[in-house]
Amino acid sequence: MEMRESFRAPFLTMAWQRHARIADLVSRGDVAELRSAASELHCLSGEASMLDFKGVAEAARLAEKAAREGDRDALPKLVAGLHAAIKAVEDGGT
Amino acid sequence: MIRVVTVDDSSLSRMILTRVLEADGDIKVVGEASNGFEAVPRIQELKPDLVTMDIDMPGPNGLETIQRIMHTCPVPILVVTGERLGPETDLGFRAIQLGALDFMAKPSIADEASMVRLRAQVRALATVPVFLHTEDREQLSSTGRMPSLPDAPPFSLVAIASGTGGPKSVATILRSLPADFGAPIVIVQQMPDKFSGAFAKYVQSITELRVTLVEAMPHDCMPGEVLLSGADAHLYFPRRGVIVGMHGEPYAGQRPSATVLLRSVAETYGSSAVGVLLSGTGDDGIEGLAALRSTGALTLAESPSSAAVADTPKAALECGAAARALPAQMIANCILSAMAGMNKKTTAPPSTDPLATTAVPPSSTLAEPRKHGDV
Repeated sequence: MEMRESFRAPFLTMAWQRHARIADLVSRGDVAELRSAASELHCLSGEASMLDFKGVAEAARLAEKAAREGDRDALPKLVAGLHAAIKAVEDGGT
Repeated sequence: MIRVVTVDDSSLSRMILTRVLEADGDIKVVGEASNGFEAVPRIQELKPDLVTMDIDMPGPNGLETIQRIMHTCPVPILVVTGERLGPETDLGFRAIQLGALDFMAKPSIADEASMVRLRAQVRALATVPVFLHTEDREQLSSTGRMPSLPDAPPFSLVAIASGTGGPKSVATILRSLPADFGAPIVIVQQMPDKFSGAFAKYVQSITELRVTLVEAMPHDCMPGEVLLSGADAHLYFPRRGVIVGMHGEPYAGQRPSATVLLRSVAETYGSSAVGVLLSGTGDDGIEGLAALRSTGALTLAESPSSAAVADTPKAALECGAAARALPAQMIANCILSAMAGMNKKTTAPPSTDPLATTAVPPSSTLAEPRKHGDV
């Protein structure tokens, strides 16, 4: 897991930036913005999967699904869940 | 040293891929691009041995970028895609149709095998010859000529073994067969098991023939039906007209194994089957094709000059397992010709294509099929 540790810091930098953009896009919430949010979430999920940060990968995957389906009611909670998952990685977890 | 350019919109993914690719010291990432616009000039400038390509990118996506590359600066392309794209969509196979050689899921650093597989695939594909705008090459050989088949017996089954780079050739063949084609077509495509559903979806999207995923229960084959492995299982004919997905041990590391399929075809159909071996690496299918040829069946290999990856068809020709070498479109023409000849009892006109005359004598060393389990 030496490789994962070496990528933890750049992952977190990228993940927090993505999360900020995602939260903004979701709060605005029209169709084009949800599509952009889904794209950001897809990237974040892929990056987390490559580094085996399972919590972020799964939280991003669920939020991406909701964004693609236009489920505006579910998204705020899922984005908050994603925040918690990124925080867990920041605290040294996976 | 194998020189690679990575194309991926995620800078972090590019960093991880670079670390994974360069781990053994024989692969060097010489450049990267974050989108399709950057990719073409970067490839023209750096002339890499291989490009890894993400599919889901903003702007020109991976498919459009592959098409553009193959039209301007062809290079071996390995699609390295988000895992969820594989089982749920047929994008990977569409990428192959556009000129990519193969696709695989992005590696996970928690899965050492996935990183080893990626490096192995890069090594295998980096030396594969690729050509400008591959569709043009297909068109050159798709002018409707029907090669003569003086040695072709009537047949009631087509069995196709396909490996790396093969899905494009599979598509070429299936697209040429009409919905009322008179025999079942069974295909073993080498790929990770999780892509089998996506492959079936892709195949169904390019053919009028009915596609069936074969599961563990015996299935009665129908004419005009395309039969694919529906799970991590061998395709096996216990008797003529009935196929099952058999959960036996991998054969020479493969499950499904083309050799297991072709040997069961040899045992149940004998000379009334046609065996086809397409683009691929390794030797899976060669032994089975030899067994089929030893029954008197017609056996064809994709011509090495037109196959995306020539290793397997070339080896099949050299050892005499394949009787003839033809481009994929000519294989389809050949099958149609034999079917038409069988139905009408007429002789097809002679071919003018020199490739169609590449007949290979059978090797006497292949008369005795190897016992299952031999290595």
